[in-house]
Amino acid sequence: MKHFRLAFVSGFALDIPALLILFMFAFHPVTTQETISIAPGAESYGSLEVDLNGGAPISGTYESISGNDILFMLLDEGQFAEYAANVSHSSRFSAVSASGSFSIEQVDMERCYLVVEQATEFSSAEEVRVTFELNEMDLVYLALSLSLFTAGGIIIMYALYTRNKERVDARISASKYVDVVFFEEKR
Amino acid sequence: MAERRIGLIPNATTIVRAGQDENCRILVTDRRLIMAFDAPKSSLKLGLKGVFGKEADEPPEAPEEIDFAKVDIDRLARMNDNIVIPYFSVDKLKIDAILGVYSFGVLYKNEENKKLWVGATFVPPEALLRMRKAEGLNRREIIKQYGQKCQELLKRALPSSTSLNVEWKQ
Repeated sequence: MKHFRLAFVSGFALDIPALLILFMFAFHPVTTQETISIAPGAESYGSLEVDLNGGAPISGTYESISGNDILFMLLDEGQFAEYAANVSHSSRFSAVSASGSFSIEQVDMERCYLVVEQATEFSSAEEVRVTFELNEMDLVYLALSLSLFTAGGIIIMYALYTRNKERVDARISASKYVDVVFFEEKR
Repeated sequence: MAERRIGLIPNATTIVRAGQDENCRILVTDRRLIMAFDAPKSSLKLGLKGVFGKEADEPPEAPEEIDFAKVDIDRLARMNDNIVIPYFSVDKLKIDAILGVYSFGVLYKNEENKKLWVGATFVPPEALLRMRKAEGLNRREIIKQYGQKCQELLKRALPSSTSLNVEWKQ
């Protein structure tokens, strides 16, 4: 019984930190800063392809370095294909301003495109600074968490198995009837 | 005339409640079958007892502690959720043997005149398996012998009026 308790508590003692590591360290935000250039001309645009790590939320800011208004868009793959083909398209996010912020919480896309166009001044080149934050998986912490969790789970299973075995053995030794009994009661 | 004990089947696995397997002991008398169920020890609640608190005491009348040779039959019939099948209420009793494992099914009417079916497989107690294995028998033979004994016991107990509706497996 003592061994069972010790094993059971040890199993939990491994599983709880495993879950804490998983939720606190295995996924952490990584900030990236990029500059997107736009060539002169009304038809020009600049774009940046962002891998969303299987669909992580993305948020960030943009800022035109010259201070001129720009059109900033966040497009998914289909929308970007339509945009590049110069046909009518929608966007996940769009705004016209010299600077601003964007955030997409529920992401159903593997990758997205940050697209910028000049909104007012087309004769000179433009540069836009984009900063965005993505949740990335840390494989070391993930592996550590999974290993601890598995080890804890195995210890708990073993504890339950030994406890059950002890109970079965106790029941066997307590029971006086092990085979079919024919009572010899008189009528 | 007093009710007479014919025998005891020390272990059977039955599916009676919410699709769950439950072990029981079956006291066979000349008037009825009484299926005495084990306490549900596998539940998580009971499983966790003893980890964070004092080990739960076994119910005072757990089937393993009952002396079936002496216990008051009526009291046993009323105890817990035990199933009682009087022979006069049996519509049909069938014994099957699949791959040497004997099982039985009973169609009977309860006190409210509702037709019910109860099935059980005659699985030898772990202690018997260990004992017979030590004697050189293999598991299959032990299970078969146990099932045959159970069948023999039921044959002795059932009155002829009920036996008319019984299918025995040879």
